[in-house]
Formats: sequence, C-alpha cells, structure tokens
Amino acid sequence: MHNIALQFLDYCNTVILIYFVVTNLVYTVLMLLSLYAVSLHAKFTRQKGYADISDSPVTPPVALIIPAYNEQDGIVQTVLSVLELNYPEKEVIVVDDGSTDSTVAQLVKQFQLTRMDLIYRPSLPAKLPTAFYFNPDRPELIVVSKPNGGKPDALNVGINMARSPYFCTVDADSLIERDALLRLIAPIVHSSLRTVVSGGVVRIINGCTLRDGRIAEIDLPRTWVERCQVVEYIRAFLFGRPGWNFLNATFIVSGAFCLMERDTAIQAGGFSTDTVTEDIDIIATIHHFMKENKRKYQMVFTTDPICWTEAPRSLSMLARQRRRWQLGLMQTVMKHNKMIWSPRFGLLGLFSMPFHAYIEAMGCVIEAFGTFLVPFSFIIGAMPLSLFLLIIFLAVGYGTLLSMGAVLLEETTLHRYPRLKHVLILMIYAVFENIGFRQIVTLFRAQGVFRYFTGLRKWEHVEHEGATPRVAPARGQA
Amino acid sequence: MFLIEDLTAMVLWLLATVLALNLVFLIFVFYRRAARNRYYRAKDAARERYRTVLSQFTNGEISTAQAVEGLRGASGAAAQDAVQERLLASVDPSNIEHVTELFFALGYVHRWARTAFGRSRAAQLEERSRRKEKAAVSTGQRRSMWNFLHRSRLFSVPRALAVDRLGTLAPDFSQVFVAEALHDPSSQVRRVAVEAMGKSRHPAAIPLLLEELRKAIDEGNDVSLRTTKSALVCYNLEDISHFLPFLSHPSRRVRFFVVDAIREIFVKASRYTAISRTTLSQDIRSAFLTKVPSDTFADVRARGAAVIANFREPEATDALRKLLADENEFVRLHTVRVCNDPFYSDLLPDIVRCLGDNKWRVREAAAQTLSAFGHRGANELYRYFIVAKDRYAAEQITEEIQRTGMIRTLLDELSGGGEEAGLAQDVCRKMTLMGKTTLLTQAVAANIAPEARILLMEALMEAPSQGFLNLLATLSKKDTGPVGAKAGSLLRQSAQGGSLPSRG
Repeated sequence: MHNIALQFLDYCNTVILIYFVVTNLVYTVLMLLSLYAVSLHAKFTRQKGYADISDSPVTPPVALIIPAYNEQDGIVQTVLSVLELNYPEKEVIVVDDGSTDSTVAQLVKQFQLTRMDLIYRPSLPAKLPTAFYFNPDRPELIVVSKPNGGKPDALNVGINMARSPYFCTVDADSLIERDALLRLIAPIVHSSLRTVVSGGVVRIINGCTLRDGRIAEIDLPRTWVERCQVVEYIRAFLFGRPGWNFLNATFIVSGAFCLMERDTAIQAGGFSTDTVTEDIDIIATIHHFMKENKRKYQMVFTTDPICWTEAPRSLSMLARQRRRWQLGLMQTVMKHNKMIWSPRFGLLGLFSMPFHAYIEAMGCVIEAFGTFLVPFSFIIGAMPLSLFLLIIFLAVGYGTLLSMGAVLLEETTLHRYPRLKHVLILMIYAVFENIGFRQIVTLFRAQGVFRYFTGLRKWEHVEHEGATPRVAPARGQA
Repeated sequence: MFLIEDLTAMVLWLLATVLALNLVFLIFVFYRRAARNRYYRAKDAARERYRTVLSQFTNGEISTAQAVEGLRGASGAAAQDAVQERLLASVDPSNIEHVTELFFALGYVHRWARTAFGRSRAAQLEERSRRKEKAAVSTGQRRSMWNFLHRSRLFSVPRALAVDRLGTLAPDFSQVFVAEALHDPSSQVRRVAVEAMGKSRHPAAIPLLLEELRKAIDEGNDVSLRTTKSALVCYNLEDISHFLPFLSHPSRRVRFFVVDAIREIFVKASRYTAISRTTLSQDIRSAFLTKVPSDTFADVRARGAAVIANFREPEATDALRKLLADENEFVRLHTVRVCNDPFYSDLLPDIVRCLGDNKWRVREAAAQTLSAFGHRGANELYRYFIVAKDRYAAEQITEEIQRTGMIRTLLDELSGGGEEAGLAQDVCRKMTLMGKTTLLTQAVAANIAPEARILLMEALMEAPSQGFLNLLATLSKKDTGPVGAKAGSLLRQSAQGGSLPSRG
C-alpha cells in the first residue's frame, strides 16, 4: 500500500515536472519572439509615427462601443477619453445595459443629451433598446438604454447601432491613450491581407491621476495585490500575446480595447452569451467562421495602442475576476475544441489552441495541485531535494526571469513609467509576484475550472472603485 | 528518473544563471536610464549650440557652405539627430532644395542611402539623385537568394526608416531613392516608399503609384490598397490631369480607385478653396461629365458624382439628375449625398423623389440632403413627410428631424403662427401618430413659448401616451396660465374619450 502511494506520488510529481518544463519552454520561445517583434515595432513607430494615418481621408471610420452596467463613477471619464481620441472619423456608442445607478443621468448631464425616438436596425439578436439619448451638437455620441442582458448582449446592440465598417470595444472603466486608436487601425490600413481583428495592450490605471478623461500622471498603485497585477499585465501583454501574434496564432484579444471588422463580426454571429468571456469567444468564433468560408484573413496584436483599465483592489474581487476569466476560457476552448490539433487552422490549431486548452485553461489545476503536493512529497521524504529544488526553480525562479524581462522590455520600448523608482518597484514585484501572488491566482483559476465541471457558470461581477476619486481638477480649476 | 547528484548541481547552476540574468536586467535599466539622460543632455546642448546657424540657414541668410562650416562639430549621434530634427521641422516649399543640399553636404543622404540600398548601390543612386534623374516606371521586386533575409524585420526596419528619411528630401532629389525602394523585397520598405511618394507629390511618381495600385488590384500586391490610395490622395487639383488616362483603364477596379482618389482630392481641396468650373481644366470636366456617368461599373459612376458636384454648372446638374435616377442604389446614394449644395436647388424634386427610394440608405441621405438646403429643403421634407404612406421613409425623416436638431426650428415655427405653424403642427401630429413623441413631450414640459406648447399639446392628443396624460395632469395643476388651462381642457376631453380631429 505504502509503495503504491509512493508510486502514485512519483507519477504525479513527474506530471507536474513535465508540465512546468513544457510551460517554461513555450514561454521562453514566446519571450524571444516577443523581444524581437516588440523591439523592432517600437523602433519603427518611434521614428515613423502615425501622421500618415491621422491625415489620410482613406482611414476607415470606427465606432467605439462602450457597454456600461452601473458605471456611474467612471463612465464620464471614459467617454471623455474616447471623444478626445486623435482619429479622423469616429462614432461613440454607449450601451447602458439596464443600469440601476445614475450611469445614464451622468452622461445626459455631462453631454447635454436629449432622449429621442431613433431607428434601430437589428443585424444581431439582442434585447431591444428602450431609449436613445443624443445631442445634435455632438453627433458623434449616442447613448442607448436597454434592459439588462449582459455584456455580450450590450455589445451586440452597439454593433447594430454602429454605422462604421469597424468597431472598437471599450470597457466602461477604461481610458484610451490619445493615439491608441490610430495605432490599432495601423495594421488594418497597412496590411494587404484582410485584417478582421486588431488588439492592443491593457495597462492598470490604479494609482494614476486623471484629468479631463486623460491620464495626467502615471503612478503605481499602493497595495501589493495591485502592483503584482501591474507586473502580470506587462508580462502577459508584452511577452505572451506578441509572441502568438508573431506566429499568426492570436487566440486571445482583450475585450477592454479591441478593434473588429463589423461585417465579419455580424456574419460570424456577433458576441455570444453562452460563455462568460465573450471577448475570447468571439475571436475563436471568427477564426472558425473565416476558415469555414475559406477566406484569407489575419488577426493582429500590437503593443503600442494602450488602454488603461481598473484592476481589482482586493483579493476577493481578484478571485471573482480570475474565476470568471478561467471559466470563460474553459467554456471557449471546449466550445471550439474542434480547432485543437487541427492543421486546418495552421499554427493556431497546432500550437496556440492546444497551449491555451491544456496549459492556460486546464494547466492551473496541475499547478494548484503541485503547490500542495510537491512540498508534501518533499516533507514526507517521497521526493529528493534535487527534484524538489528543480520543480521550485521551474515554478518560481524561472518566472522571475520572465517577469523581469517583461519589465525590461516595457522600459526599453513603451516606457510608460517615467520614474526610475517605478521601474525598480516593478522589478522587485517581478520577483515577488512569483512567490505567493501567482500561487494564489492559480488557486482562483483552479476554482474557475472546477466551476466549469460542476456547472456553476454564473457571471461574477467585479465591483470597481471607479475613476472619480483619483480625478484631478480640470485645467484652470485647480 | 534522473541522475540525482548531477541534478542538484544543475538546479543550482540554473538558479545562479537566472539570478545573474536578473541582475544584468537590473543593471541594464540603470545603464539605459543613464545613457538616455546623456543622450538627451547632449541633444539639448546641440540644439542650443546650432540653433543660430540652423535658423540662419533655413531663413536663407547663409549659404550651404557656410552652414556646413558652422555645423562641422555636429558629429555625435545626439548632435546629428538634433540637427536633422531641426532641419526637418523647419522645412517648407521655399527652402526644401537648400535643406536637401545641406543633407547631401553633411553626409546624411549618404548614410541613409547606404542603410537603405547598401554600399555599392548607394553611391550610384546618390549620383543619379544629384542629377535629378526621373524615375523609371518599374516597381517589380528585385530577385535575390537573400530576399528571405531582407524581408525579416530585423533588416527591413532600418531600411524602411532610411527610405522614410530619403523621402523627406526635395521631390526632384528623393524620386530616384523612393522609386528604387519600390524594388525592395520587404513590403514594409515598399510601403514607406509609397507613403514618401505621396508626401513629396512629384508628378513623375503618379504612374509609379498607379502601377502599384494596379498590382494591388490585379495581382495581390503586399503593399495595401489603402496605403497606395492614401499616397495618391496627397496630390493636388493641378495634378489631376496625370490621372485622366487611367479613367479609360480596362480594369474597372483600377478606374474605380482612380475616380475615388480624384474624389478625395476634390474633398480635400474644397476645404481650403472654392472650386468652380473656372479652376478646372476642360479635360477634367469633359472626362467627368461624359465618360464617368456612362461608365459600365456602378462604383465608378457613384464616386464620379462627388467630383461632378464640384463643377457647379448646368451640365453638372444634368449629369447629377441622370445619376439620381440610376438603376444602382449606390450610385443614387452617393449622388443624393453630394447634391447638398444650394447651386443644385433645381434638383430638389429629384431629391424629394429619393425620399421614397426602396433602399433606406438612399432615403436617409435624401432626408439629410434636404435638411442641408435650409428652410426650403426642410419644408419640402415636411410636406413629403405629412403625406408619406411609406412607413420606412417616414421613420427615416423623423430620425433626421431629431438627429439634425430640426426639431428646434420646428418648435420656433410653431410659436411663429401662420401657415408655417400649421405645417409644423402637422409634422408633430404625424410624429405622434408614429409614436415618436419623446422629444415632443419634453418640449411641452420645457420653457418654450406658450403658443407652441399649446399647439404641441393638440398634436400630441392625436395619440396620447400615458406619459403625456400624466404631464397634462401636472400642468393643469401647476400652470396657472393658458398652458395649464389648455392642459385641463385636453384632460377633460380625454376623459370623455375624445380627441381633436386630425387636419391631415
């Protein structure tokens, strides 16, 4: 019996070891590809700029769709930031998803909107709007009210209202950098291949000071949970996604700031309500649709269009967010499991999908299991010190190298944190994020997987503090 | 499973390597910050040091030789960048040739050309550039066994940046370089060359750009259509004659993109100058008035309408009338959109006819165009709306009345009395019958003229909503004037189950 238990432990530890070796190998490859792609992209755009796109009448119009549910604290700042975007032709559509707070009232007051009876032409199924708010002196902005139906439903209403050939989803608690939309459309304008999705980078706004819908001062948040998330976001957006993009195998694009071709999204069926992460799902759906219809296309991820968003401040809110993300990822990979190992989808089917399914979606269970099992095996003497050290090194030590590398890449390319103190703090957290924080997040993610298998699939709402407390007085009022 | 004794040592080595690398990263951050500080300090100092020489040169106060003498010390990267930025920032059509000469004399052009084309070709191209040689119409990629390397971003980014810089030279000098860059194996370099051609607007580049356009349409060029079109749109009205031969191109898509580029040029020019038949050559006018309206490709006709509208002459009115009745919806759509010019008031009946078009985009455009005609157009719109049997057309007009702010004028007319007030009230009645009452109800509650509020209340009684009845109840209690009295009377009438007779 004792031998069987030891053999079982040995088997489990081998699986954990293989998991960490494979994960780190993939991350290393992604890191090298990202270093190459991001550095050269930054070098080119730093000197070349985007004036050719902003000045060109050929640049396509874009509809910015902002779904909002009880976002009274930050919605005005978000809308201000998108209205001020440097872009030749845009329309801003705020979809109030049945808010019970003063979200609509704040917008009506700020932008002097009037309720009107406008035409609604549904191309995608969604709950019917109940009211439209519009100001003829500000024709680029429209607010649509509808009964609560969830974020995908609100996004579909926004797509139905949009008139532009491209639309950009923006979270209601986010701020967009002034040139970000130009940077996001650049690959679409410059590519001769049909580009149906273009994604950008999301950064954490906590700690920053806002003024007139812009970030007046970039600073780091105060708590360790938020700071660890800053490092985590930098690593994910500078090391993970550019690597997959380099291989033309983009599978995840953040819905907080993502540009899509409207016709393609409509033909693919729009945002689906059967997963809790509609942004991941629509990417897979579009891949499916385009391949089935034998259309040539690409999806791109660019590192310089930056959207700043609010991150959870407490562990409880972080837990809700990560459980939902993991549940959504599980739902999406299972919904589109035909793509896994399918050569029809190229590198996406052969590498990206299996990686996202087995490592990103389900791997957290192995990692969470290992967090307890490896120390236990070592303590009871079922694992030699050397193997224990190797697993700890792979689970923690190597992660610090990836996180430090990501911070370094941010410093040498995007350079959004102007003070040396910020970079040093980020480097310290790049080490500590791997000790404790990552393991906690892994447990939350494992809970998400557990929820998928137990059928507990509800949307967990993350409460935000909102942007208002950090808003500096407008210029001239200070 | 492993050689345990080796594994411990290996883990320790790996750990030490990771720690060392992390330390290297940390040191690199300090080094980079320090290097950046040094660079920007040196750049600021160079800017200060060479400010006088550079401003004297760009103002034409000193010669190129004197400027070269004055800038002799600008040798480091920071100083060279400072000089380059300052010169590019102050370049304008009057001094661009001088600035180009200085770039040649200081060796910038040589450096850029060497980066873009390699040592051997750079010297030859420099020589051809100095002679202001015209570029040949050839845009094919040069074949080489090393093309796969040249295409990689590692090597193409520096070349693309160098071509971008070469594109800032005076058009006569930059032509040879950017035309040569169109043979580059990297699409990024070719794209930058196309953009540079657009910026320099040299007439000799038009055939090259149109060739790129043709390739993008017919052969699947890896430089995007949008990039090439953006470059073509950079040209001015006086360059349009170079485009005209392509209006007869056998490929209908080439014809379409050429007409569309011309349309964009007209749109751009009309922002700054008033365009009329006198500012355009006979060739252009006759091509657009005769050839384009009868083109077999609908998209050519559609885009051509926007150009024709700029001519403002009777022949243009006839051409537009013909296009307004075109069998293709996109032609009608684009034509009705561009008729929003008071010169084309003769076309009002044709535009009103478009309000009943079977395509909603055409109806919407017609309503927008009519609203742009001011009072006369608005009245035409109202008259059509009141009698419109087509629900979709009527809905489109109510949308326009609300979105364009015409409702404000409508309320003003209500309070003005007379025939106009009657028309406005009929519009409000029709809107009420269509259920578009939100704005009207808000207007009754707002602080506008009592006469207008009373007429609005009468109109809203055509199909009173519960919200409106509640408002009447409030007004009858709170308003002691004629509005309150009218509200009370309407409420009583409603309670008796009656409503005002419709005038429509």
